[in-house]
Amino acid sequence: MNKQIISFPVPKTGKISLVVAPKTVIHSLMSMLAVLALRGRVIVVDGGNCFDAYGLARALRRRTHQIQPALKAVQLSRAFTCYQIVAMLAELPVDGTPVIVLDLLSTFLDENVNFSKRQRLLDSSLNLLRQISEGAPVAAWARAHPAAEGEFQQLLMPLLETAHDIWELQAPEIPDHQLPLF
Amino acid sequence: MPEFTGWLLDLFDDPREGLVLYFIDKKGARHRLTRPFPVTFYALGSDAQLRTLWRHLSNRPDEIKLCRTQRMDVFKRQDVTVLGVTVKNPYQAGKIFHETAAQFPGLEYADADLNISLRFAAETGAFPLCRCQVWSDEAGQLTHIKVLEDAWLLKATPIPLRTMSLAPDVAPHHAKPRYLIVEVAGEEYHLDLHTWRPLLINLRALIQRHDPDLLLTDWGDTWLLPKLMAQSEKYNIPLGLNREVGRGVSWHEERTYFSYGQIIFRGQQIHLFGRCHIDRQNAVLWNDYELDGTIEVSRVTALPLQTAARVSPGTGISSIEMLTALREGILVPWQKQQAEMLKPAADLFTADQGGLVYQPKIGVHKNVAEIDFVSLYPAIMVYFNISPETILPNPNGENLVPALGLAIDNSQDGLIPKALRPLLEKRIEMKKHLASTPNWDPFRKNFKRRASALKWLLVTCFGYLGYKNARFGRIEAHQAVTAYGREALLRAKEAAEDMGFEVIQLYVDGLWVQHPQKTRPEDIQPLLLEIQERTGLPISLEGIYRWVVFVGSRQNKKRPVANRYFGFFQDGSIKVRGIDARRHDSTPFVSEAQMHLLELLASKDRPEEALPEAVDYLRARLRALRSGHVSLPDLLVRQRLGRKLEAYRTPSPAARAVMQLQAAGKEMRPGQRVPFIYTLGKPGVFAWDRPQAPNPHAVDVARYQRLLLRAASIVLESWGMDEEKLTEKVLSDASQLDLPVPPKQHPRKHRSNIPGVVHPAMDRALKGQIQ
Repeated sequence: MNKQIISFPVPKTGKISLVVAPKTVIHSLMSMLAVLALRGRVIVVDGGNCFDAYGLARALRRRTHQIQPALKAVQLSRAFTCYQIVAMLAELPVDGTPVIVLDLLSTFLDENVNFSKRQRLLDSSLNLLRQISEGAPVAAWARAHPAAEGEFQQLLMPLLETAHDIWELQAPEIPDHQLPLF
Repeated sequence: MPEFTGWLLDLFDDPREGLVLYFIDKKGARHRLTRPFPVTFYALGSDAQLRTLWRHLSNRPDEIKLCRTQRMDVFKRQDVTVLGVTVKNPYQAGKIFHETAAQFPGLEYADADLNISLRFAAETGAFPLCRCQVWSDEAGQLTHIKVLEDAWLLKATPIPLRTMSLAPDVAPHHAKPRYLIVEVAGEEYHLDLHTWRPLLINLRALIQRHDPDLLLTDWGDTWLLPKLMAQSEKYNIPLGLNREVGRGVSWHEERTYFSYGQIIFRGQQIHLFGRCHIDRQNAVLWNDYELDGTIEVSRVTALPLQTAARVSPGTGISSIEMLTALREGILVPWQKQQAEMLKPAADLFTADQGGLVYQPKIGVHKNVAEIDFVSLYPAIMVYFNISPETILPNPNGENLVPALGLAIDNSQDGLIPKALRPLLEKRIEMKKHLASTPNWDPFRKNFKRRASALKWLLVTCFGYLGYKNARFGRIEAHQAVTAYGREALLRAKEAAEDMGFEVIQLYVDGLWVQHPQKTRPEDIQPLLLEIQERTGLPISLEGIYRWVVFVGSRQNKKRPVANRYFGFFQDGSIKVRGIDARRHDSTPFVSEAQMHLLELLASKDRPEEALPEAVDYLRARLRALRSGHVSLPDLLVRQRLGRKLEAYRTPSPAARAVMQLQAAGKEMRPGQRVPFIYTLGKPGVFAWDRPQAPNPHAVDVARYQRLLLRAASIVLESWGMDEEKLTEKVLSDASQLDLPVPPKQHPRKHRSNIPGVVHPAMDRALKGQIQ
């Protein structure tokens, strides 16, 4: 997937936009974030420690020379456990500020937490996202995890059911054999 | 009332008697005492939620006491209302808690899954292996315990542990062991593993006779004890591995986890009751600090000896923090909910920087002083009061963290500094003591091992501050520590430059400085005092190098690499970082050769004088390699299996070795190290633990030659001998093979076939014809 080909429309209030894609999509997400940041404050909840600050700075620089105010407008918080994601979403201000959730499912794939418990915590997170989306634009990215295919699919289902706009992107298939040079 | 002085050996919960404790009496006896020991966990939530839980628990048949109370929540920085659930028997507490948490998943819980030895230490002050005075009643119940030597004492009275060592004659994953070696009370016994009945009878006799406090085994967790127990059941010969009658052993499952970017495997564990079992092959850092260090970890963390031997230093530091919290009445969260504060993206550029590195100047440097901050990050946490609850998002307040929009609340000591202070002080004292202890002192090894155990605990305490599952971790605190660290190192650099030193390298907590006239330790003292004055942190001189070499990157020799160097101190010792001699995955053949070359360089006043000798040495090593005189174990490479086999798209050599083992019915898990030899042809490796013996003629000599010459060139290239030149120089001679000494006279049967040599009969015939 060419990292700059896809550009996402900015999310709208009352809707949850969902992107299901491999990690290369982060560049496009940073472009979308740059557009939002130039309009005002944006909250980013990072569930996979994948926020690309330099990528965002580059995306902003393509649009403005004054990147510092825009970088300050992006408010970031990182979560490293599924408990933290729920606690973080519960504490977000409901004041119309757009919310972008990066790699939402990553912490829910933690094998140290019982699967049914993770499902319950994900449900709580989705309920909170629904509530936030009533007053603010919400976009979430679910990073495709081929290594945890079974669990990932089970956790993705409720997320797909919750989202209003769904973008699903796939990485290009890699051939099993070396391609000929000529 | 019976009273004795001794050491607390083991303690555990019991379904009937609450808490069982085993003591070693200083007079030689072993005592088993019991004590009722109710434990409490807490539930946090809204009033309505806690009321519902109260009603639910009130209806349980178990002996439970409920109370509504206030406890300190360290993250909220205030007392919060909680429901305290006190379970009369600690044995049942875990089960009751897990059932409650499953039924009331919306509540938060605290003090829920703590080791019973931590609770006992918090309540009585007595920790495993502490020297104590004990009072009990006629029924064998512990009535009072008084600690005589605390965990922070530098020289504790040695424990008269009775130890029995059990080990098979060979590693069971490598070959089938033939006998079991038992060492006890200075005697060694070999018990035949092919005749189980006599083995079990004899082993039982030895255990009964010596009644060891500690079973020290090799592969006891993963092979020996499971085997012994299975045979003991088959032949109906109980071994008495436990001292506690009527208890089975405690099994802990194997596991694989990530730590510092590496995948780590821990085999299953077998814990005993009333005596301890340590498997040397499954114990953490055993090669580094052995039993002395493990005892030290057990004492300072208050974890039972068998647990302390098997947990990572991170778990150890977590235990120290939890123990401090229990003593201070602070809630220990079951699952930490606290996430990172919302912060502007721009702040990440300043906050997420880690330690400061100033790339070194590549090449040889003479008379360089290495100065290190003593346990820099723990010292910062302690001296600057960094803890999850002391970090405030207040850019206008006092005590600002350098370059971050955070301030430190110094109105009270934080939990983390409270927990770490005695550990740090003990480590510093031990370092001082070690520096003044001569090599011949019989206690020096003991001190060194204990100091190493403390070092590992302190090394991990910083990482734990940012670790996702740490009970008292917090990203902002983690970032504050590195911010202070960078500031301290910059101030040290300024101090050095102000005093006329040239800074050769900065690396997180140390700096390498050079001054043409200041080449003795006493010349560096003023700089140390100045840095200490400017930073407020303890600093010490690691040593002065006669010469030190900073090497470039493997890909681009002109690019410097931090923390990759070797040097020779004025006191004669050699220090090596980041090169083959130090790496775990290099072969002994290569790493020993590299170390030998370093010793050669260090043995000369001018290192370049050692080059001819170094070349000769390498030629000799290559000759030995080609003629098969390097033993196969010296060619072993030990690489870690980084993932499951099916996850490899292009299998690494380790993965290929594991495939061979799998084909032979041997399973390996991610995180385990796989020993193998590089061989000719495909698959290019031979797994050392395969049932069949490796073919010495299949060794990939060319590959080992490359590895050797590459490692040698890293050491020698600063004296003009890069890999290309070295290879040319060494191989120009090494290609000459030793030919067998020719016989003085050719064998008769060959003579006729050799041109110019005439057979004697023919010779005579020819002569006759002529005549």
